[in-house]
Amino acid sequence: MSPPGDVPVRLLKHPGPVAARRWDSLSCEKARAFRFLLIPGRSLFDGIFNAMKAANVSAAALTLTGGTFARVDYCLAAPRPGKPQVAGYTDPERMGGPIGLIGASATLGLDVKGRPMVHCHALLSGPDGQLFGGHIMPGESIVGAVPPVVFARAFAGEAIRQRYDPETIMSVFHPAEAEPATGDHHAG
Amino acid sequence: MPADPQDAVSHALDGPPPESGQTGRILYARVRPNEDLVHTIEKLCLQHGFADAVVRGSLGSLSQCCLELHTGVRIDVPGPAVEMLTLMGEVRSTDGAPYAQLSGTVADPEGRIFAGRFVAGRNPVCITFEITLEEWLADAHAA
Repeated sequence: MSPPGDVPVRLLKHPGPVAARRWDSLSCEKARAFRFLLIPGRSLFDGIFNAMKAANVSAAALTLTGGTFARVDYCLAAPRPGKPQVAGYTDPERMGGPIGLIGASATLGLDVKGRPMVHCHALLSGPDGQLFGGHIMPGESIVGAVPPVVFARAFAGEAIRQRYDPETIMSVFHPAEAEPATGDHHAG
Repeated sequence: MPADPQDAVSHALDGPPPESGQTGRILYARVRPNEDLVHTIEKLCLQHGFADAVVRGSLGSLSQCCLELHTGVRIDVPGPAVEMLTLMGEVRSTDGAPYAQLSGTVADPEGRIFAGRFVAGRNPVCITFEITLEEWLADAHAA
């Protein structure tokens, strides 16, 4: 038994071929910044999508704080026995509100079919102040009476896209390939 | 009449002035499995030439997580996977070498929440990690 804080770091074998490039990144010289509120009674997705669409933004990194949700559907990542992936999402859990939003990060991009998609992880508090959180279902999580505040940094063009990743056999957000409008594109 | 606590405040300058500056470029990255979160953030700064940077929101999962508490004690959070809930921090460079200090909150596969500072070399990415960093451009200070 290893002492606490000193367990060996074990790498995981994913089902697909290991990419030689270990990260993809893009940098942007001038990222526009936005602040807005989510919409009470509407979903997390609707609030982000509406504000960003009005600003003609399809790729952004967002931080969220404060406010409440009337309902949150969320899941965690855990081993899924019998599945080839090393971890998958648990079945979504639904929490009734009001739920406090302590902090969250989100990414807005385009999904594999080119439709707007939000990926969000959040730290939330329940009625007794107990903390919970995880991967938030953006379409099913409904904003409460006090809308959370969102700060967004926008990337030009369609800079972030969901792509199938052969290594993990999951579809995840990546910086889009060959995106001249976004400035220098680098590969790690 | 109770004493005004403000009367006890010394107005003598006894520390350095704050660093002034502005934000510069912003970068977004997707990190692949098994790469260390802390070291990859440092390498991204080297790659893009960000001497100093602020973490602007990041989300993803770790296959296991090691946090250093404020007491100096380290805890291991087994996965897979450990979901990042919030992440804050900065990168500072000394003689060109970036050093990331990152703290935040995570959830283990049972939903238990842990918080602390991420220990370099002990936080491998599980499926994916999305990182947004903003460059901090400090003004040249008068010698």
